[in-house]
Order: sequence, then C-alpha cells, then structure tokens
Amino acid sequence: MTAITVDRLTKRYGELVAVDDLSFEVRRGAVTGFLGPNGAGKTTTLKMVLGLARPTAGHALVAGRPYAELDEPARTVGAVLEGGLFHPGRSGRAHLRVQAKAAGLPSGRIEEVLALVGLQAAADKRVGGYSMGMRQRLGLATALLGEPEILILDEPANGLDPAGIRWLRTFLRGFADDGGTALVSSHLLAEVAQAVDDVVVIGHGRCLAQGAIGDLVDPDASLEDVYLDLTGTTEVLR
Amino acid sequence: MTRLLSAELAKLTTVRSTWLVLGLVAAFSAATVAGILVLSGTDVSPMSLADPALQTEMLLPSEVALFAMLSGVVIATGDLRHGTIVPTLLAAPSRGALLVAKAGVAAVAAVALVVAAVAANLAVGLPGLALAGEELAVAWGTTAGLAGLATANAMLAGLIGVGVGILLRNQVAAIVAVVVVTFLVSPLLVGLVPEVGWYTPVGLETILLSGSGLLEVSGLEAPFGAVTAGALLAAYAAAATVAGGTLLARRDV
Repeated sequence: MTAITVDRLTKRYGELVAVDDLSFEVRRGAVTGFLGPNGAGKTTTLKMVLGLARPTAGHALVAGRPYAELDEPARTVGAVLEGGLFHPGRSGRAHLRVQAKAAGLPSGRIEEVLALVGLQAAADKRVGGYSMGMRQRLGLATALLGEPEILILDEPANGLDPAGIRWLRTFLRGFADDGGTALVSSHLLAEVAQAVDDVVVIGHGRCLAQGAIGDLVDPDASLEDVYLDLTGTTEVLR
Repeated sequence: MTRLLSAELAKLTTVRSTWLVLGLVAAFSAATVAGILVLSGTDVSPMSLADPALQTEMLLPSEVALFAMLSGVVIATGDLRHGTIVPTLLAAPSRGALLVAKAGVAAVAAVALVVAAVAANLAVGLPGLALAGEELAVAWGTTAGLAGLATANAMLAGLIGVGVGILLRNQVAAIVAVVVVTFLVSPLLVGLVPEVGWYTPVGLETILLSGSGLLEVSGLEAPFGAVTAGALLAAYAAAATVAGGTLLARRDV
C-alpha cells in the first residue's frame, strides 16, 4: 500500500529547475528518509506534496488524493516545514489552540500533544523566546494534533539536543510500528540511518536512488558512503 | 468556514498588539474629544459646543476607518510575514475560505474599533459637556444613523486593507502605502484635483459621513451623495478582496 505518491513532479522558477521530473513512492507503515544536499529540492517537493506550491508539471497524492482534496487533512497528515512556523508573540498553547480551531479538532487534544512532546512547562511562554529545539517540539505537537496516519517532517532533528534526537527516533519507530507512515527529510545521515526503513535520495531535483535501506547500503558500507557516491558532495553533517 | 473564522479570530486575540491598537484608538478618540472640548468657541475652532453638528461630530468615531484598514492589512499580512500561513493552509487548504475568514475577522475588528472609539468619546464627551454647562443637543436618531454609517465605512476599510495586504504581501510596505495614501495622496487630491480626489477612500468617507457636518466644516461641495459614496467604497472593497483572493489562490507559500 502506498501512502504518498510523487509522479513526475517538476517545479521551475524561471530558468531554475528546483525539482526535475521526480517520482517516488512512500509505503504505508514505514519511515522513509528523504535525503539530499542543501538546495536539492527537498522542501520544494514537500511543499508540492502538501499543496503549498503549485507544480509546473506532474502531481502528488497523499492517501490517494491531492492534499487539497482530503476531507480532514489534519486527521490524515501531520506536517512540519522549515522547523515549524509560528507568530513570535503568541504562546505555544495559543498557537495550538489556533491550529485546533482551524482543523476542527477538540481543544482537549492540546494538552495531550504538549505532554507528548514534553512542552507543558513552556506552553504559556511566547514562542519568540523558544529555543530551536523547543520550536521543533512545538512543530511536532502541531503535526500530531489530529492524530494523523501520515507524518511529513522537514529536517525535524535540526536544533534538537542528543536526548531530543533519541526521543524523536524512538517516537518515529513507535509511530511506524503502530501502523503510521512518516516521510522525513534530513541531512543528518547518522540519525536517519538508525530510524528509517526506506530512503529516497535526490540531487539537483532528481531522484538518485530509492528503496529499502538494507537494499541500498551494503553491510560493509554506510549510508553516508552511499549518499556521497550518489550526490557527489561532501556536504554531510553527522 | 466557521472553523477558520474562529481560528482567525483566535489569531487576532492571542497577540498583545491587537489590544494595544484597541487601546490606542480609544486614547486617540478621547484626546480628540478633549481637544474639541477645550478649543471650541476659541479662535482656533469658532464653532460653539452648543452646536448640535459639533456635538455629533464629537461623539462619532474619528479616523477609525484608517485603523480598521491597517488592521485589515495586519490580518492579511501577519500570516505571510511570520510564515504561519503554512500551518494554516495545512489545517484548512481552501485559500478562498481563508480569505473569506480573514475578511470576516477584519470586519469584526472594525466593529470593535468603532465600539472602543465611541465608548471613549462618550466617556470624555458627556462629562465634558456637563462641565462646560452645555446641554446635550444631538438628535440621537441621526447620530445613531451616522454611527452606523461610520461602522459600515470602517468595515469596508478593513476589507480594503485585507485586499491591499495580500496584494502587497510585505506588511511594512502595505502599512506605509495605506498611511501615505490616507494622509498625503487623498487630501492632496481632494484639495487640488477634486474631480479625482472625491473618488479616493478618504474622499468617499467624507461624503458618506457628510451628515455629521464634515463637508460643512471643510467648505467643500461633493459631486455625488452618500449612497453613491457607500456603493463606490463597497465596490473598492470587493475589488481589493477579489484581487487579493485571485493572487492568494495562485501564489506558492
């Protein structure tokens, strides 16, 4: 079963081709790493998948439908882009209240997700005073409000401390083990290797490889070796 | 739609700047009324406090349309400025519905601004008249009608602000544009090229509220009546909202 289908997706900005005839699938019940160097087109692709950017060509389906046509998008997909985007003058709890109202979700869910990401103590502080890690946690709390079956996370490990990264990894594994699907863009390869079942590697907007991590990475090699061979870059952050 | 309206209203009420603007409008209104009370009957302002036209003008909200338009700009551009349009559209992907919700909240904000201004005017004006030994001489029916027109004008200004905000996208640029057009371009056009100036939002507002004596005070003669002025303002608001909506539907966020 496929949770997300990206079919010949292309995005051009004038002469610049950000995403170039990109196709891949994300299977249900798996954590899929979406890898590529900075500027490879990962965020642009995710924005097109989520209906935030209009493709020049091709299309993307989430749970079998274009995102904009989902009946209850927040109950189907939880997504965080660009580390979460918040009004700095609004508290974390107020941000979640706004999002719950927009998605038609019960307000009781707010306390549950705050507890899940460990942000209760800071919930009434304004987001402008949050650290990067706290913003990531609030973004994840936002994505989880609707108890979605699919998560799409853009660089979720950025700004997290080692404990936070371990927590995220454990959370993603548990989410997938319970039948959830996650598509996680990242360039933190060491973390991705431990958390994902499948990988999609892109470079210059094109798909360079996709498949189960065990099929792509030889036992005597690392994901980093494969990534560097595919992308031809040295731009790897551990 | 109800969900988005509720969410947009929550966005507005969960930041401190909203309450600061309401307080600012109330303070500005109170100061304006205090100025009228002090200066009336002097060389600066020869009209007597006993004049019903002056009393009516004193009790009506002043400059609220400007604040309503600026609120509309902030409501429209806040999401674009902080990127919060992304989580909003993820929760509710219909951009048309989002625009309608923002327009609705801009109208609600305009009403709140009018209420704050009128409350301040009454709080300062009524005791001020009593202290000056003047009877309240306004015709309440006329004053209520004019207050209704002022409210409608503020609501339309809020919608224009939403459209302008989405069209210009940049919050600071949109605020500067509204302030420059309101305080510089429109008054200059009304004074120097009236055949054009009357068609600016400020010119139309002056005609719409002409029953308050604004035209009498300014000594100008308008080329059409309040109904036409109201219809033109409504057309501007509709055009700005539709143009903003068209752009929002096509734009990547």
